[in-house]
Amino acid sequence: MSADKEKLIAELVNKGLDGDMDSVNACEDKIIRGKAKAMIMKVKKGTIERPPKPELAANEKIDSKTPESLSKDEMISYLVNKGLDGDMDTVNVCEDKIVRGKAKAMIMKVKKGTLERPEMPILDSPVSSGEPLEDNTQDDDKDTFQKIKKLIYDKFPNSIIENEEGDYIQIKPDEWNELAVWLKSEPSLLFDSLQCQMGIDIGDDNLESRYNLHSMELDHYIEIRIAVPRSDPKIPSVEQVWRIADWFERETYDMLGIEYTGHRDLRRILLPDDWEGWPLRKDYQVQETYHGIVVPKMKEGWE
Amino acid sequence: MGLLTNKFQEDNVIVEKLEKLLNWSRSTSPWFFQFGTACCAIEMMAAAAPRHDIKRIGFIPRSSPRQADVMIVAGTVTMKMAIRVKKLYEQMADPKYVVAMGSCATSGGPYWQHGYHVLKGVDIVIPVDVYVPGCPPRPESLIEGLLKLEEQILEDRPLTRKMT
Repeated sequence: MSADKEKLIAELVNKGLDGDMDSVNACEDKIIRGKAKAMIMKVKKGTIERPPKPELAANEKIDSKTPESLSKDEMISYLVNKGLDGDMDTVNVCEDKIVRGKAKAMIMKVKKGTLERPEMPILDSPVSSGEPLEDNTQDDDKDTFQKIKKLIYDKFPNSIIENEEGDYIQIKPDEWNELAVWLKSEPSLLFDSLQCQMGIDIGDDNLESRYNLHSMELDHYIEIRIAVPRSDPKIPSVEQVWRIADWFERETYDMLGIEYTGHRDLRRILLPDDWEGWPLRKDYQVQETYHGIVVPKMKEGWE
Repeated sequence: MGLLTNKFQEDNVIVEKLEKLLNWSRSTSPWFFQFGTACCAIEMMAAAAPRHDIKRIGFIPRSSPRQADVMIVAGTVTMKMAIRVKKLYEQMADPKYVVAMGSCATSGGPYWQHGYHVLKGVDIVIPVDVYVPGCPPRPESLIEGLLKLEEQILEDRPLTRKMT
């Protein structure tokens, strides 16, 4: 499999460099697409050399009987079958106007019942007649996640808390800052973007801080979760790793009172500085007055 | 405007009370302090824009409280903002009027029950003359409220000592 994948990547890279980015974008496998794009960038920058064009793949293409090599009548029945199976895209991308029009008309007739469904012409190419490989991509996503998890586990064995299911990584707060720096700089991970950081009161006297990380370079995601006890909610700040975390952490501090140690400007961001309490905690009690203004409480029987 | 109809007694002389003259001049040019606290501000801007054009009834937006006669509180007033709203109101020169625009400014709006951080109506901190309901009110509603305010200004007694 891996040799095939490499071949495919090399082919895509060559196509992309020749200006045909559409076929790169049309590749359904996320990982192959990501790797191909990354390689194109690198080749353009000049850090690596252009991979040789794989000959075998090209030959296969010519040998196999593609829909384009069919006669017009065969083409129409091929398109009709595709369209009736729900794949109208194939019909719409057909360049021959007349064939497309006839195919669409026939699809309508078959749907109405005035015409019988034509036989599917036999194609030699297994790719064009096969089902899309959706299940495989999902498996690949899981594989990537497990791979990332294993990488983190190898580097920081004491930090990870094992969880049976769920596609997130639960870690301890102690080494979070070092882990974050490593996640961002490790060449096989390159999590260069913190997409979201949020805080949740998860009950059982625990508060949780969650981080959604994404790698623009390699196009993969993970979610990191850090739980801390409500009595001493302290988590190392990653504000200096991902600058966006600055305001994210200030908001989580504002709403839940999680203290991000090492944050250079940890103030409330939405509520006034002299507000009392942490509003999104489950045990929050609203203060009675604020600068002489009565803060109305929820009255009984209002609902 | 109807204010001068049948008032000329001889030639171009009108005999009228000074208070009336003051009220008339003030009611036709109440400059408003433009600051929006939430989405109602968009409707306020729409009202000031050419289609509705509240300048034709004398309302001109001013950016400083010192130059304004009317404060249009357009939008949700949070506790944090309430202090600032009060300060801005105090900075305005007398006589001054307040229009509470939208449900939030009149009563807390959608936050009237659970919003711990929202002031339940701006009248808790400053006196309000006209309430304009709506969420947000259309510019027509705002204009209606502003015309009501003009009527109110016409009935003022600025030179009469107030009974305390």
